[in-house]
Amino acid sequence: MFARRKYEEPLCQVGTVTADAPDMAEVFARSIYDEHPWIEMVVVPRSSLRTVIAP
Amino acid sequence: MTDGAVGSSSERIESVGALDPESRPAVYAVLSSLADNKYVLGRRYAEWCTGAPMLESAVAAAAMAQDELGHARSFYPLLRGFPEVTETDTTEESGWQSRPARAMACLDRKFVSWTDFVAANFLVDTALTALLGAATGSAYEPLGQRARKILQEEAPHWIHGAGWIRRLAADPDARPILEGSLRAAWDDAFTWFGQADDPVMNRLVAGGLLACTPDELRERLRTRVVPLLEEASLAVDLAGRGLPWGRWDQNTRRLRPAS
Repeated sequence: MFARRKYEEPLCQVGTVTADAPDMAEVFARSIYDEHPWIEMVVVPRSSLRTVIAP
Repeated sequence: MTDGAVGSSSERIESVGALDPESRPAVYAVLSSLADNKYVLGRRYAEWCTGAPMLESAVAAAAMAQDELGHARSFYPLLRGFPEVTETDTTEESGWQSRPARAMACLDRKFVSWTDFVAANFLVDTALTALLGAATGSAYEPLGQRARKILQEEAPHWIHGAGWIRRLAADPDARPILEGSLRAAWDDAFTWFGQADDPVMNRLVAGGLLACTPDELRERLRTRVVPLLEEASLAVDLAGRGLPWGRWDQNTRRLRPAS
């Protein structure tokens, strides 16, 4: 889950959620990470990430 | 599930005093029932804040409990202005934990299992939302305002309930338990709008305070929930079965317990 608080800030990873479906992930992200008045929040399926440099 | 305009009346009613005397008791009855159902549903959700099977849903349960209690809290002060108000209607600021409430019978007891939570989330919450969807253009502005705001907050509740229906339906162990929970909540949710000739609801429709008759609201609820149950081949007989109107109590707007 990625979010930012200010327009001039980049999206940063704030945490993760486990869900069966994208819409459930949205619900979980919104309820779990509600500690700040975010201006933007997105969830990305882990399977969509492409590793460029592995740890 | 929303309606922009209600009836033919474009006149906005801002206060209880401006309601016509015939509509006022009906508005009070529906607001009171809405508030009590939201209040008890919120308490039942809250009891599962630490009991949900996933951490994500435990937090979601807490958020939904806050939403429901907040919705109830927005309705109770409205009741104070009605001549019909009782002492218990005004106890939301003190002694609220023990205030008597007339909510659907399936909310009388704590949820025994997570499937009870999901069934109430899916059926009871959606029934309340169906009514509010028909009130967004209400001539009684305090109801219309709240309905519009609450509908925004209810969207994630539906997603949560529907998501868990799909998840539990796919689990051979949970599936029969979920079906039992759905059966236990079904009649309460579908009778809550009242019978076709319900004097309270039809008075609201005639006065431009609500867009849908009881049967239309029931159809909206059916249209919302049945496709998902059919998709999951879950309790499909429920949609066609008759409702137990012999147990319907018009005064309390809930079913009496089955004997």
